[in-house]
Amino acid sequence: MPDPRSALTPVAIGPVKLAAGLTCEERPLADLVLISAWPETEKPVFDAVGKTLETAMPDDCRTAAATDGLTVFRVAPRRLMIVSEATALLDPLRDAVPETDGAVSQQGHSRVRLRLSGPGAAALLARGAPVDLDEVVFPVGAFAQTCIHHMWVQVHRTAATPETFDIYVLRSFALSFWQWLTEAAHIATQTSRGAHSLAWQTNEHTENGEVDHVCKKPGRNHRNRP
Amino acid sequence: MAQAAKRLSTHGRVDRSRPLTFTFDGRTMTGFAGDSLASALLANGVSLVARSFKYHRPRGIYALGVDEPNALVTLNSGGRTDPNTQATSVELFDGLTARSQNCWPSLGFDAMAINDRLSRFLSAGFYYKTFMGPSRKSWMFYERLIRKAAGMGRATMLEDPDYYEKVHGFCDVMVVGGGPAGLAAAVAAANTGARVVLVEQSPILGGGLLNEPAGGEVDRWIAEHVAALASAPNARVLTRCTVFGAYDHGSFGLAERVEDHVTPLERAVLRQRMWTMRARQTVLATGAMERPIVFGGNDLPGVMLAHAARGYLNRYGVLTNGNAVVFTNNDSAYPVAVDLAQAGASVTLVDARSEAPVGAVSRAKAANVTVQTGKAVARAQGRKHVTSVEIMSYDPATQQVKGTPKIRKCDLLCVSGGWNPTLHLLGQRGGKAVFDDALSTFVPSVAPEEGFHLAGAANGRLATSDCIADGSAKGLAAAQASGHAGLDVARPSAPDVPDAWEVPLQPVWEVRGSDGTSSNKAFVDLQHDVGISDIELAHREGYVSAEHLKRYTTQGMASDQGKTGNVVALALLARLREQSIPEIGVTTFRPPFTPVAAGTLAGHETGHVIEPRRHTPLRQWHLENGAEFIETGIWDRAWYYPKKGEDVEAAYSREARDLRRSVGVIDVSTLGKIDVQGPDAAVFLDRIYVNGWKTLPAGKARYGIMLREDGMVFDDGTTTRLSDNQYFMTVTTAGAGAVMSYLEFLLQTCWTDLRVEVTSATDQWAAIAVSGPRARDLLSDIEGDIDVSNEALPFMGMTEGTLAGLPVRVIRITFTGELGYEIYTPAGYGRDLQDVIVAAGAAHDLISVGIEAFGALRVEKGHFAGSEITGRTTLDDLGMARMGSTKKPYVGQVLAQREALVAPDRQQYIGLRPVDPKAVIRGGSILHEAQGKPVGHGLGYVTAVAFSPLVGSTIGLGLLSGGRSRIGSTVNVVDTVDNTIIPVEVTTPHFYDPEGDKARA
Repeated sequence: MPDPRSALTPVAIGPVKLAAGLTCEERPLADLVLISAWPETEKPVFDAVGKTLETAMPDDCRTAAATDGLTVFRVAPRRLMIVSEATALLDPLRDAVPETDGAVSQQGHSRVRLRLSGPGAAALLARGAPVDLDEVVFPVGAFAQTCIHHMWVQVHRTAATPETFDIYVLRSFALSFWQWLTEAAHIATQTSRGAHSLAWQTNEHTENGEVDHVCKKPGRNHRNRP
Repeated sequence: MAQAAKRLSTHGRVDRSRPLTFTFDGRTMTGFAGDSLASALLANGVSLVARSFKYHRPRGIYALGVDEPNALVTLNSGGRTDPNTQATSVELFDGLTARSQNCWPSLGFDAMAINDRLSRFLSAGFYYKTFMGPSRKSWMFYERLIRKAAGMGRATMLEDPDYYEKVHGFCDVMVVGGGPAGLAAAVAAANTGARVVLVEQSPILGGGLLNEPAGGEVDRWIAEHVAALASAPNARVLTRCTVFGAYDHGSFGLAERVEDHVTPLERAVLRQRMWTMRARQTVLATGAMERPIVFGGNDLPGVMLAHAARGYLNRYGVLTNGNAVVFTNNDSAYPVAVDLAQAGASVTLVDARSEAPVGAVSRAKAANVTVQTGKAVARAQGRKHVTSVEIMSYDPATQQVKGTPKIRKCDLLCVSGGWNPTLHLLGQRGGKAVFDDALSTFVPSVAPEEGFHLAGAANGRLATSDCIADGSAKGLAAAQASGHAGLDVARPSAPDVPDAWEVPLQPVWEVRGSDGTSSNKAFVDLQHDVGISDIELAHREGYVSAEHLKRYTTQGMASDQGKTGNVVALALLARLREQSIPEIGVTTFRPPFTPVAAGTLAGHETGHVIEPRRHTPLRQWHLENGAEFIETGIWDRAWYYPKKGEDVEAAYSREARDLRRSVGVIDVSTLGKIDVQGPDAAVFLDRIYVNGWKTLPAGKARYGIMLREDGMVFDDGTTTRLSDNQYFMTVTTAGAGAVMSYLEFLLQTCWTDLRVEVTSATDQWAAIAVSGPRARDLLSDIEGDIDVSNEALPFMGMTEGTLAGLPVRVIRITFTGELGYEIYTPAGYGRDLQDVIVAAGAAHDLISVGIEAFGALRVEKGHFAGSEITGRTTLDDLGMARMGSTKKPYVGQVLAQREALVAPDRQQYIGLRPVDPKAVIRGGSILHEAQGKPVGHGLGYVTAVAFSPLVGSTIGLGLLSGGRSRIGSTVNVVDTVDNTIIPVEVTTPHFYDPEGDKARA
């Protein structure tokens, strides 16, 4: 079987620099399943999943439980989203969760995962996500399901330094999301002093002059419509 | 000629080492870094800056900041043209170009100034009274001309070359306003560890303190606070940023002018940024605005709010004019007189109060200010600039002047009628204000909701020391309320600014002559030319409330929203109605506080990124194979695959024809797909579909229709049983989102006892339809374990396996009416599967078919789709009544039996074939009886049309009243766009293979 094709072909191959120190790249995932239980079967199903995967279940819908090869998100009451880096999940989880107790839905191809890393990562996401991503309230491990530019996204902070987020988007929206992300980063850095880091600069008082480079704004359709 | 304003060599906070060149009406001038456009114009001796809105009267610079009513200019040129900008709010930059507006041929000689002579006739309501007739449409005609004459600047129609963006911000405490109260509040809040954002509309912090003489204790105090915030990692300062709107639950709209103060570059820059700020607590330290006193000629250039004159002197080093009169009813104007005198002006201070503040008077006299108490300025005189004033005795009992006027020559007249707390944001949230007799204005009484704190002058504390103390207290209170119970640590001592009031203000709103009348050149709203006489007229005509007064006179409706004159207008109406000001009421504050550029609200969601698009896994294949794309809802789909020289008509006709001859491949990945699992799945399907599902065995598909609760058809599609407890549901592309939401809604609220889970799988799968007489031959040629023989995979059968090593689910269903298979593979393999199919298809004359031909094929086959499932059609309307089960209940079953839904004359789904095969009918046309004139709403309409190679003409589908009983008869297709009437025969919708033999072949 061939490797699955990237939904971002051909725009994103390898890490793409979005601003000074800030990069984004697709991080393929081996498998992704959604598991649902009914109200009275939540505990046995979660226990069975934890036992099968040999990992702890997350306590709430704000923080992911991550091990080396697995990340478990509680994405809704009674619902888990499990992401695997190497192994297939469907069969072992189907075995672990009886059909009478819960549903196991394979979704490995339905989502694209992007990794946004570097100074200004949170600031860039703030261009679209109405979620407080400040490390004070959104520390490593925290995740949120929200909307950016009308697109569902799940944002997961995976590291503090460099500031790193894994972003899950639906496959059919991936190109549009990529376009939003690159466009937002481009615009955010277009000050008169030239492109610079996106990290918040408190008390910034932009001074006149000092143009690093001069380029013309491309036309409205400068990037091919995906 | 009045003595011109000049730049001093000593005063102010501008950087004299950095000269900046700019032009006004083509004249090249020089200013300094730190100037506003207004201060630079004044420094260059420009006093006439604009013409007024209605009478085209000469106007100068009246205020210091966003309250400016007069000095509106157009900035920049080309796509960056920015009309109606307050010169007082524009930071000067090198290369700035400004133009006056609303004047012709020039600012100095404006032909439309004739309106000023006609002002007796152009009173409030003039246009509405005069331009009513002769017909009801007349106003539309006149309005265009009137709007042209009444003037604001013109927006450019060119594309804005710059960028805009939007950002979400969050904080514990937002402090609005960077003056003494705001700085104190922000530092106090930041000391607790709370995340603080301080927002200031000016380029630098300090607020009203910047109007104090430079170089003193005030600067030390500001610097210490700015440094404290800069060093606090939990504090962020946004300057050049206006909080323009306050919304629900502590969310605010902010407009940050990122690059408005920078010389425009060739390239595009990020010009403005809109913030949506969500704050747990908010301190409104928005200060207060000085209000005028109204008298004859109070709008002449050279008449200015008192604090503004002081600000131009102490902030910008501009002595606005040398011979000054300061007219006041309160203590705050005394420091103005003192500073002007010390800078070299000859100053007379006219105080309407008979009791003067002793300390302030002695400081004024020490600075050589002549102080006259119990007097008022009755009139300002001059043509294009004030040249003298009439000073008369003032009688507070009658609010009239008396005695003989004394003329004093002057070229600057500073006016202070008191201060109005800036309560716009409070008011936007429904906060209440009460009338404070001591300040003669509205002060906040009730905070609109939890989380608002008013501080400083906005809270009615006008003295600097009170502002700072109030700010500190409110900043701390806000931080604590946000959950930061930090310590209140010591802060820098307040600067010594002796501005506490010794004697209370005496309300003076207008100065009327000794006969009780007012001048008809006494303006309350300078921008909209609303005078005392207009308010008197409104009163005579029976307008009794603030809101009515506003609409009738346009008082407070200009781009400055009446920031200077509104309270004065209320006072005038109150006097006329012999009521108190609170009885007159106040108008409602609405966002925005100051004008916001449309581009800022749009952010970067313009042009090609205005909305996201969805793409199928085969997108790249379509691109490489020359497809034209079409937007279908949010999806981009392959529309048709033109061969050389083909347009869409030629291409889709060919594709539709050839598919029926050999085989076609169509990307149907956009179909909504839902994974239905659980032991009660069959029960669930029985309830949501009109037909039965319990008997469907695993490995079989069934077509189903869903109704809404109200009995109308909701959606349709095919659902396949994968195993005992798992189904694979497909729904229409357009209906996918709504169906998914509705199913979740039912399961989570109505049927919580059902053990069923629905999961959207639309993005998980690529779906390719292979359809046509040779479809089976083609698939048989592909290596794999899928047996597509009629025995192994009969019509409506499903099988899973691999094709060329790719995992697939093959369902034998068709939308075209031909032998067909829908092949599903995980999305990441979609492109590979397409390549495999296309490679195998070479031997079978495989053609790529786009959505246009697909639509034509469905019209021939008579499958109803989105244009028939309109939300107004029932199962019976679509000819599917027999599908509705009588053995079980289902959603919509009951309400579908309502009288109107079973009426015999309902519009029913039928086919249409032109009597003349060459005639072309168009979708959306109205169906009328074959005889008689087409009048009224007709019998129905054409829902879809296509050219059918099979029939040899255009054919259509439609909804026709009593349609099934009309089959075989003729009706007229009336196209009211082209004005054509085409007779058509009513047929069944099934033009092709009505028995379905082809699909079962």
